Amino acid sequence: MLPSGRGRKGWSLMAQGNGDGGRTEPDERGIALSELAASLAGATGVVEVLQRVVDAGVQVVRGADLVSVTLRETDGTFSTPVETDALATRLDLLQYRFDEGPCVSAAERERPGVISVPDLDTDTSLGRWSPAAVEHGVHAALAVGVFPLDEPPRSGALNFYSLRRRGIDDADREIAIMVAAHAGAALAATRAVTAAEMESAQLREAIRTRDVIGQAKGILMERQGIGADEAFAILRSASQRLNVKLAEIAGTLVARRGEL
Amino acid sequence: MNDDGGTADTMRSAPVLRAGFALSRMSVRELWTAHLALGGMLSRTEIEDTLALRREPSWAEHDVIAAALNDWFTERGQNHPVAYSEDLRDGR
Repeated sequence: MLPSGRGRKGWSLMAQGNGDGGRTEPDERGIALSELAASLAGATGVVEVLQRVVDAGVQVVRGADLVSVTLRETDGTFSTPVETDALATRLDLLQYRFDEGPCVSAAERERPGVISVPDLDTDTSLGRWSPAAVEHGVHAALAVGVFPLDEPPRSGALNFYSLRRRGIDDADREIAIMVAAHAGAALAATRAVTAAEMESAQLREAIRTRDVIGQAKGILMERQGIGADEAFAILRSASQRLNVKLAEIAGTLVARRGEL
Repeated sequence: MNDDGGTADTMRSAPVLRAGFALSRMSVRELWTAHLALGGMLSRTEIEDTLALRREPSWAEHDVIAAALNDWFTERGQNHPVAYSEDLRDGR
């Protein structure tokens, strides 16, 4: 079932004057963007970052009824990990299948990577996708590449769909670019943290293994009156003879030191 | 060569490690971490220099790096293709 069209949200792009000599207060979208930036700092994973982005995106982009994120996988294929409505995912999947459409183009396009199609009913630039989107009740689309800490290809795109013809205007596009910039920065930071956590876990495992090998060497040194290099050579030789990893040999020696 | 290493012309360890590394799909970081787990003491830069033939390791260092590489191959069903020091010392 289609989500109901919401009419344009009644926010002004411009900050609101307060009648105090030109001083202005941020409008609701500015506040929402600030809140998005703050919330992204606390997100702990890629999906959580992206979910917060789409939730904020549907609030601050006035004409958008549906928002989703396209991510480019390492093999070059696309996926939609988060959306505000299942229809957005269906629209994305059609683009992946056709290999054409706003999010596919925005993810691949050179900077600034913004594809805006205000009237899908009359559009002929997006091939089979535009009439398919219209069949699903969607009449305007905007996609912004996510973005661009690295050179193209981009890591994906932030997608906005409207149920109304010309439902997404120039002001929406400017706000969408800001949201996508937030998304790109947060995504890069999250991926860096994930990589660092993985490296940290690998190091912890290496230190644990190093401790076991140290114990095994100590047992051999004590029992045979040999040095550390000789003890390591014995473990290494056993590993080679049995074709078993050296750490497993060491672990067995430590675990069964009373029997051997 | 002695345990203090050798020169580029006389290297026997580093080319073997370089070849083993090239045959594996390990990254330098993975090799460094694996060598650390086996008790190795080299820095990541020293590992990189060894693989680039800018540094000849001692025999003890060679055996730890070779064991780290061979563990990677053992996990994939191959039996210790990277030679240890006893084979290299004899010039075999």
